Amino acid sequence: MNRRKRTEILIRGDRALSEAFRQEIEALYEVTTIEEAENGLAMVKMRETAQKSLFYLGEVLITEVKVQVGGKMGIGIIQGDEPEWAYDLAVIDAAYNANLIQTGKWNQQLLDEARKIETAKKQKHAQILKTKVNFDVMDT
Amino acid sequence: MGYVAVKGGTQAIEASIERLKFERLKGQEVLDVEAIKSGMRGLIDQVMSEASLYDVGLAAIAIKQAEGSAEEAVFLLRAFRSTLPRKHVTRVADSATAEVERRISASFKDVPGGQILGASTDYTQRLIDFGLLSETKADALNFLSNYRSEDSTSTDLGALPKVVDYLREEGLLVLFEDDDQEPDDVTKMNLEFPTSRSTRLQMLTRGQTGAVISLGYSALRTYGAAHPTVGELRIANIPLYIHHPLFEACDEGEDYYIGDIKVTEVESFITTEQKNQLGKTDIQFSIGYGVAFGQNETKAIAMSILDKALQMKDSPLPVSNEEFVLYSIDTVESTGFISHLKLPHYVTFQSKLDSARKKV
Amino acid sequence: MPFDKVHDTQQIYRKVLHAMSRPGEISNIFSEVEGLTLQSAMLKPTVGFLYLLLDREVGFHVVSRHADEVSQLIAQLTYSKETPIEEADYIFVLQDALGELPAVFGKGKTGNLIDPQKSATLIVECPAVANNQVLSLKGPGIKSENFLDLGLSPEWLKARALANSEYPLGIDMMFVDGMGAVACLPRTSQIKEGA
Repeated sequence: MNRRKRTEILIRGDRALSEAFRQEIEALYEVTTIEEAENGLAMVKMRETAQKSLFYLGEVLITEVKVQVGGKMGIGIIQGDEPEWAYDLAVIDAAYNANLIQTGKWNQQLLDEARKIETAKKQKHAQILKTKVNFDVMDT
Repeated sequence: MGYVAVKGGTQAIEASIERLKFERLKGQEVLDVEAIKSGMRGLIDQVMSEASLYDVGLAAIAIKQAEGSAEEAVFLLRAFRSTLPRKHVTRVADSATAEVERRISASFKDVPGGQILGASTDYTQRLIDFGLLSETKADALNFLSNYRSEDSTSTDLGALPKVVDYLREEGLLVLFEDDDQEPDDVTKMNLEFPTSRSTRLQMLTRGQTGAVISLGYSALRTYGAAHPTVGELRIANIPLYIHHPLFEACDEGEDYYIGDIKVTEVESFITTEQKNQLGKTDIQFSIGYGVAFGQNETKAIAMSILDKALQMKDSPLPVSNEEFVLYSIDTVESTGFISHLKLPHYVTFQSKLDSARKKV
Repeated sequence: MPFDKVHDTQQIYRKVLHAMSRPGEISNIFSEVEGLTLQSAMLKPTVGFLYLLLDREVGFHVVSRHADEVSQLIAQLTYSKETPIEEADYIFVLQDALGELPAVFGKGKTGNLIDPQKSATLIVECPAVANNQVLSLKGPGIKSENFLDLGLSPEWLKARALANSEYPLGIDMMFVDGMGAVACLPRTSQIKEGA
């Protein structure tokens, strides 16, 4: 599973999952914090749909942490002020970068979580789709 | 008369700040930030959009501190923002594949994907609901548990086609290739005229809501030339991705997902008449583009009008003058400059009095 | 005490600002950078300058025998981008490459007439920064005359004068030594050798 998919699941899914993964790594390896949790900004670049040019929409608050596990650096980045979550994500990122065996076992848990996210999404979409208009053309 | 240095205001200022705190707390109620986050969506969205900083939690604290004054809350957020390092620029955010929560078109009844009303005050009767006076948390939880027990669906709201793309396929709109020129960033430079499109869009989207709406309205009302039809208005949750900060070139699969932002995006269709080579009148469509953080529909529509108006050279509209629009529209600049009039102008005003007296 | 990225950087900022507005006056940032643990070819106070000056919005260039490793480290630490010397907003001349200092002036950007601030700032690691009467300084921010001794051989003075000859274009400089002493020379300072 690539990082894009993985971070989607870890951030959209249950907070407890990242925590559990991080604890698993911390129990077995030494985790060195390179950069403590720090707030920062990410500028959102966007493409407008009229002429398809790029512009800057505005900034988003983020929290970022850098750690080292097994000689590899991991970065945790998440929207909002989330120092602990960012740390967990950094440890998990480092674990994947270092190819630790634990990460192999995580795949199934991530896929299960992805299914839960999908189910919740479908429910949400069903609720929204109740507001979809069915036009009846009036006889005149 | 030379300048007179005065001091002695310190104690009065400290007392004034204390008085401000008194005003905030004198009702003996402490406004819970969580309550603001949960129930002040409209104000939070407005403040985030004008501050050009997306964070619900920060916006809520700013609103509490500012006692609900939007201009003050925006000032606080802009000031806070200036203390933070900008660590990243996101991958290009894409509204076409974002999860849609509301999507309407005033141009096509049978728009592909349908008219999805989502959450909106548009269809309410604007009667004050006095029942809210006695609303309890139990009422809220009860409503939520009833609301949540719904079936699931197979329709994916992350794949609704854009109305503009539909028109482009029909050949009714001019086709544009992706223009990948790096945008200008108004947070880092002085405005220079004429401005780039990226400058205008960034200035407009962070413009003061009231100013954007009023100026947009002026384009419709006074001259009537630029009456747009909303092709599509969508409220969508756009996922944000960041490329690896140290290896920019690596592929998108190795991006970091950081979260979603809610935006309102509008494409307005504006018809223009042009004489063709045979002397006949051709009708052409062009698009005005508007976008804002959060659910800010009127602002986004007004922005789409201004976007178009600012591109009309030789137009009699006041809002086709970009210096007029862009210099007036920022909330911190306009409120800041107006506010400074409250600061002591003892010396300059005395000199005006002096010259007035001399003439008498 | 470990280095505090927010408050120590803030203090360094205040002190460097003081030094920049009073050319020749020496500030000391040793107590702020003492807690830095990073091992590199840079002096500790120089690392403090990284946190002060660099982020992803600006570009830097390192002049050193270890330029490659140092640049990589700086990029990782600050997300700032290494650029060719001609485009760099900040040019770090480390103590192992002081002989190249004169040549740097011919390459660093000096801004343009509309945006003279879009010029390079040089950060130079010196053997010792002191107020001995080696260089005499005059200009804005100096009441009558200030003295500075940077322990550098004087070839760079001509190169600097040439780069700064078309005011408001020019290059600003910051000097730092291993003990945390910091002095600055904005482009407006006039330098004469000797007392």
